[in-house]
Amino acid sequence: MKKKKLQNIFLNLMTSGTMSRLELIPRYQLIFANAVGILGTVILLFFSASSLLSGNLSIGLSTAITGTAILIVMVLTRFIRTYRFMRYFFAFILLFLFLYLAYTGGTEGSGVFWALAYPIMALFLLGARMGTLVSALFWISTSLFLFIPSLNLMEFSQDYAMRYLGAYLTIYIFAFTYQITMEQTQRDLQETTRNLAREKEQTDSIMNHVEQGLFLLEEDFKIGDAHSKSLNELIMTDTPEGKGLMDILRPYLGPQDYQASEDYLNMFYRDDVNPDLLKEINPLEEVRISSADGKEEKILRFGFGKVSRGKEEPAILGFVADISEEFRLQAQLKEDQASYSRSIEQLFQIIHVEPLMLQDFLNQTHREMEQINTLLKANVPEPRTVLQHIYQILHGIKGNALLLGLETLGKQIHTVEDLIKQSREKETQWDDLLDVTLALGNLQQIFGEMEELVERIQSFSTHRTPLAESNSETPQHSPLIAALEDFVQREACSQGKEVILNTEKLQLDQFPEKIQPLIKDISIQLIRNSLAHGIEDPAERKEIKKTEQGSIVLWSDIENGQLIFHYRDDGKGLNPVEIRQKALERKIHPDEKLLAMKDPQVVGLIFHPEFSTQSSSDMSAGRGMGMSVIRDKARQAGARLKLASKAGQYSQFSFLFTTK
Amino acid sequence: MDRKYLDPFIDATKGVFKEFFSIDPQLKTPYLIDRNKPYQWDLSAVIGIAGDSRGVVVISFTEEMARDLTSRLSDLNGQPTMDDVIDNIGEVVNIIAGNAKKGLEEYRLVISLPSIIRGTSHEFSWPGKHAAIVGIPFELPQGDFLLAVGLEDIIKS
Repeated sequence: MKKKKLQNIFLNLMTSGTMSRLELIPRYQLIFANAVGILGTVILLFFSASSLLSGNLSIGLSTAITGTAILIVMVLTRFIRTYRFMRYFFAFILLFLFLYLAYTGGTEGSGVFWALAYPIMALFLLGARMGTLVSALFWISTSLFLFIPSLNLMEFSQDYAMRYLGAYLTIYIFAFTYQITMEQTQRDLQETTRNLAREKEQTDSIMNHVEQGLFLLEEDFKIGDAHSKSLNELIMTDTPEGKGLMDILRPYLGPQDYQASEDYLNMFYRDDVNPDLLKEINPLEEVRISSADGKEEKILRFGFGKVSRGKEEPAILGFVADISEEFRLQAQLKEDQASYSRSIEQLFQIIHVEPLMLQDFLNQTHREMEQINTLLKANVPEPRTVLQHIYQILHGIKGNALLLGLETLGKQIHTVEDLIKQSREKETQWDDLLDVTLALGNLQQIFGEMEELVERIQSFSTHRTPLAESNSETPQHSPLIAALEDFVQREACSQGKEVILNTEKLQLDQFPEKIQPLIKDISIQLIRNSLAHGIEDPAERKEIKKTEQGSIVLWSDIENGQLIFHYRDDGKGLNPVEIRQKALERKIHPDEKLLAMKDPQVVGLIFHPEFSTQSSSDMSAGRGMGMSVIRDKARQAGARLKLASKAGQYSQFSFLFTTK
Repeated sequence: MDRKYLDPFIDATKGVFKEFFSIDPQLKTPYLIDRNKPYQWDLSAVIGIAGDSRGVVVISFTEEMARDLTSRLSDLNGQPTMDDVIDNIGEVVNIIAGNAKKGLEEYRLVISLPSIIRGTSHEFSWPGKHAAIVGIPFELPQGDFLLAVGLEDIIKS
């Protein structure tokens, strides 16, 4: 400590208190001046003392004055900072001193030697220009008393004088060259420093403001010190410099991705890899990272490039951007495109339907939606019952939609059915009712849009004359029958079965108008069941010696004043054994009761709401509700239902309506 | 219409009634409102909504209910004037809207100050052409009032 303190005091003294504040050259000029000053003062005062003691008053006094003057100037300069003045003052003190020495000759004429040192000191203290001036001044002065006889105290010969002047000039030239070089070097250095500072400022501006993270990877994929400011926030690390990139990313990458990334980065060190190819196979295009507390999540894209550094190992330039927003928008876009595709699909389906049938469907659906809404408004205390009713109505609407080939709409209704089913499976809350109402609202919106669409299509098609009509030779089927035939074909196709629908003996106009929608609903449900469970596929039918094509027959007749609608398929029929088994599995009734039932009773179990011979529900088969819905509807219309079946042969359903 | 936009209004309504009237309204089964049929309420406060979803939230009362609530709020003994009723109902719905706004902050929705509409069988121009309007009846001892929401999702999320 003491040593350092002493050093500081010494430095302070020699720089007149400016320490390191001045530039290089002025600082050393000052040190030199101070050194000269101190030395000069000491020598002069000593000399003065000895002169005074030996009685030489004039010399003693003059040296004392000079010495003191030097001391005063040094001290004063510390306070009033007239550094230039001090330098000039000393330069001139030296000038006069050396002139005096040259003039008086010194010991054996050695006085002139000191003068040869003068140009070096003058150039150093005062710089190239002023130094030259003062050196010239000195040179002229010495010439004067070397060549003017009256002033030539030492009586130097001409030759001697010339040589002295020549030597002086030589020294001056070299000192001057040296000083110029030094000053130029100093200027160059300053200029370079300024340029570097400016460039650094620009670079810093870029690095501090660029949104993306820029960084270099050194050995072991450690992040370099110089990186953009945004990097910290992007990779959620306070001081990324010195940390390994792969270490930071490890928690967010699966083991395969981690390995792939390391391998990828290592490829940058190889010479034989195509950089364009490298860009294509970047495994870090999408990295999902989250903050420590899990609250913040973002998706980052990394990019890398190679930085060749001549003989040194190349570095890897890294770039990272936050693409969370982009990602979200892309996901949104995909969603929108899917939605759009569905709409187009739906449009095609709608166009294929016979307009009158479609109108019929929409009207009926409108009425049924009102029915549902009435149920909701009634605010029944037991929500599960309401949901049950709504489910049944929706099921009917779905059936109708599927009949017409409106697959997309069918799916949408199916989703709402699922929602209702879920709500019923647990403790139904008010919240569930709201969810269901919202879902129904969405359906209503779809129906509304469909109605509008149909209107527009109709207004468009009334302007065109249908071409096919006049050429038709086939007997005119009622639209319902045509739709049913289409429906059967579609369902059969999707189930991989072959079926023919026979409606020769069906006379729909016999049935009152009110009943016709019921007939339609019944047919739809029974057809779906037959095709899903009843009728076997062609291979199976061949094996049991049936015709490969199954058949469904719909017919009507009148018996004892009763109008009857018959439905029959030649499928597996109703097997009491299977039905009983299923009922046991589903625990529809207590086991003893089920085992005690007679076969005809067992067959009747198919109408139980919870019964179904399929294990999972899809759009074609139901959840077992279908049959019970049919029975309920038939009852509502005042019809009786009769079942006839032979296991392995056929199933027949007959609906007896009382004519008024 | 997304459930998450509705919940803040439902909660705000329940909260405000609890705080100002010390009653817990009971929620009745929600249903769909037919935009073509006349509305059967006498006084409605309409709050406009814009942003990712667009439409209106309407809280409707019968005149008797509105008067009853007003007299409870201002402790007036006599019959409050229609102006008083409108002011008070406006205040109540204002607070409901303010509270609901907090719940909607995380979504990109802005809501307007409520306007009061008065008159028997007034009609609304609901947003979109086919968007569903959900009505949520609230039951109080003295009768029902209705919270109706018609929102059309501009940005689906």
